[in-house]
Amino acid sequence: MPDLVTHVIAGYGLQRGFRLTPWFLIGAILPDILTRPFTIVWPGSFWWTMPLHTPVGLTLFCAAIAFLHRPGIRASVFLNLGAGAFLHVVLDLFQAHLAGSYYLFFPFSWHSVEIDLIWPETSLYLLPLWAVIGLWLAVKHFRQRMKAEG
Amino acid sequence: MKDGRPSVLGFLSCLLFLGALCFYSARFGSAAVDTIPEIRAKGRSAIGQEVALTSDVKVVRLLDNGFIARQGGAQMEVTISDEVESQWNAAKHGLAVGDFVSLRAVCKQTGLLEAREFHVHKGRRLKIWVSIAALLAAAAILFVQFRKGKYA
Repeated sequence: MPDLVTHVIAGYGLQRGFRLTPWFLIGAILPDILTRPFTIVWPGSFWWTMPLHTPVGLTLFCAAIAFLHRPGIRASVFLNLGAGAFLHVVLDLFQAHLAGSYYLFFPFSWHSVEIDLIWPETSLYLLPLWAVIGLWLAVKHFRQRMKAEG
Repeated sequence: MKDGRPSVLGFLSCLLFLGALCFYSARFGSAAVDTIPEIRAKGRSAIGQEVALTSDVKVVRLLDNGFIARQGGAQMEVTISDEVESQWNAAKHGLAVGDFVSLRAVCKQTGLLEAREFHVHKGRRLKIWVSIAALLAAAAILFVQFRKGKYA
């Protein structure tokens, strides 16, 4: 994964830009929240949690969360959550790993896929850029709020 | 299930499918990724096998021609093969105890790996802490948004 700052800023930026619901931002960090704490603390859990970082597994998880809501908003929750998770998976694809990349076609294939562009920790060099964008979004948000309040 | 209410059946069905997928993955997951505890558990039968270890492998001691790696509470010595010696010579000065590495290696004997390819994940610890900070920031943003009633 790129660091979670990258996922949060990308998710929050798109959420505000396209007026999406908070579920989009949750979706943008969902795959890592469902898997990374377990694999960092207990590396042997890799294959148990791996499906939660694949399109099929994430679709099922997003559907499960959507089913907890009333039918009127169920589709919105599912689509926003799913789109956020899709964004996460796309951003992750740009990374390179010596082993254990992304099993996009699971459970139909064990073939792992990635674009091999940057090492997972390389995204840290972009932190200053994300910090500036985050600050800009926050200032824009507060300006809009001040305007709305008169 | 009546209209206007959450679908417990739908929720449980999805979780059941998800559980089945996780079980399938754990049972039949490709051997493309190994862990040190798994290699140790194989004992002598692992000798001669190629293994691949991901970025959760930590360097716990530096040696002249390699290091001791730890993952999930188990340790193995890693020596450097001739084919990556020049890469090792360039990397070893910056390598420190506590750094994370990923490896492709061959198990030479019980408790000993010979690295054929490796990468030092400098900054992984920072990445974990930065990610925790980002998670807290996201939680704060979501709290504010949900409190405002931006629900769906």
